[in-house]
Amino acid sequence: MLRIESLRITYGNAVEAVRDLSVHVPRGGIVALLGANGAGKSTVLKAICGVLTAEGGRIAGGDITFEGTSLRAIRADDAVRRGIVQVPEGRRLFARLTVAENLAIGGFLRGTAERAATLARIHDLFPPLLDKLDRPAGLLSGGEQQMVALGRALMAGPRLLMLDEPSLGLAPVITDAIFATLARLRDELGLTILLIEQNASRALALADHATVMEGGRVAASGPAATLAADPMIRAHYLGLSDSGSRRNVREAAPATARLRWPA
Amino acid sequence: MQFLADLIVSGLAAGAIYGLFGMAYAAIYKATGVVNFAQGEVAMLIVYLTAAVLLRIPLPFWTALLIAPLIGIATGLVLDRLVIRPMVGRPPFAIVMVTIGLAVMIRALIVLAWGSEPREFPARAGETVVKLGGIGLYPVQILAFFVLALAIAAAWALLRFSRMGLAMRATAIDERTATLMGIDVRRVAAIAWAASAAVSSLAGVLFASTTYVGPDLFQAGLKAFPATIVGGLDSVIGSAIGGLILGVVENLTGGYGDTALKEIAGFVAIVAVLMIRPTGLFGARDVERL
Repeated sequence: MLRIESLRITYGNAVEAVRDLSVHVPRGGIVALLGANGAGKSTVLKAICGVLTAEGGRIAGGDITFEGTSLRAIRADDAVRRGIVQVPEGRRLFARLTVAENLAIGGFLRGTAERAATLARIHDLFPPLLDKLDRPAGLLSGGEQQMVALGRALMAGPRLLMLDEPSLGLAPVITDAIFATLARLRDELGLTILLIEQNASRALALADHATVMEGGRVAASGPAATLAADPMIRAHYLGLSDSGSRRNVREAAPATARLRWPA
Repeated sequence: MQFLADLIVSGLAAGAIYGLFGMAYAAIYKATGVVNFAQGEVAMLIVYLTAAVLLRIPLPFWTALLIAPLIGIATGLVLDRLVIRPMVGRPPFAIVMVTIGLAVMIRALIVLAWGSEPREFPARAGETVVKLGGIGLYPVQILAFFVLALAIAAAWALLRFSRMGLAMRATAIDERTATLMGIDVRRVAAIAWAASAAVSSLAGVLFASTTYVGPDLFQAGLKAFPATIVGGLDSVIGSAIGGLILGVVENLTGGYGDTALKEIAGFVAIVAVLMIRPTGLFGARDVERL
């Protein structure tokens, strides 16, 4: 469904944020893009969504195609029209607007009947939001805000749902609930998901396939289960020793400079 | 007591024109985060164009209130396409500087096209004083109230109930996220500029019909700027109310104090209001869970 081939992204012709990245997201699959801060994950999302140019970046090589159509020159609103929808990092709700208004904005490009049907679905997925529809979204808890952010994206009728750090700043129990919802969306709706996460253990548990990025390059790529069993991934991204016990912070030093796979 | 009532009512009438200008400032700010310092000049240009139409086709005054907004919408769309759209994605400060440049250009253009001599607006609302509860008002003053009320109702309905209104509110809060939700922020900006020019054209025509059409007409828009600061720069309806407050404050200051003080009353009101409410009386404050 989504193909990223030998992608190279630069900012201001000087900074190479992404180099020679290739990722394939099949229809109905969940693919995780993992890596530390600055690895280039969010830059890839910006390129897919059509907001890269507005932020001073450009695709300097390679291509991104969605169902065979290049996204190199796509505008953000056209990307949404095609069904490419993002849940941005930090949720970025419209804090002063109510929950209902946030959800309505998600469905901005859709017809009344479609919006009503999706809204019913969102109420089913996130019952805690039902009695908070008239509250300003900025007053909700972090978990509730993530529900609204996910609901808002669903209102757009996504065919490819992209989530940027959905577990950021959330309690483990809330993260569990969010990831369970993502699994449900894939299983029940056949939704295709591209997941960007620093929480590698949760992402690998959910995804079918994963790509680890480091310094803008692919450090590792393969089936999620294979990566989860890889000793290097376990040591550097999951913080686990070979025996499976949790390593302390000093032992689990950052992967940067120690971990290098050929690109 | 009669004097006080006269001052308040005539202040409200002047304030209705300020309020319309204030709404025009706020419409653009709310949708784009930019203060259009060419607001008065845009209104002046539309007044000149409306006057040119009325000179060719003599029509009653009320038609000017229909023709001017139509010219205003066209002017707003053209300015957005030529001047503002190329600046999309640039910092708001850069766009504000462009509006200042635009103001200077419009002033020069008007002098080049129509000369610097002031002239009478071709249509008049009538000079017969209408008595309302013992207070005398000119028809244009009553018309100003009516137009402001209509503009407030239209703005409220647009922002509260329409999809485009919701898109404008979302874009004002976070343009990038609005873009990610499929909102075409360039279209939102174009609509805001068109609506703003339409509303300011009404203010311009009402003002010009009580004074004259001249190349310093833009100062009415500048003078109304405190209205939108007092009411809240991001509140379209608040800015309208800010205009009414400004009109009354100015009149009371002029009536009971020195006439010279009347000119600075609006700016004193800005300082006083901002010290108490930094976002203006009706401006939105950030909502954040602590």
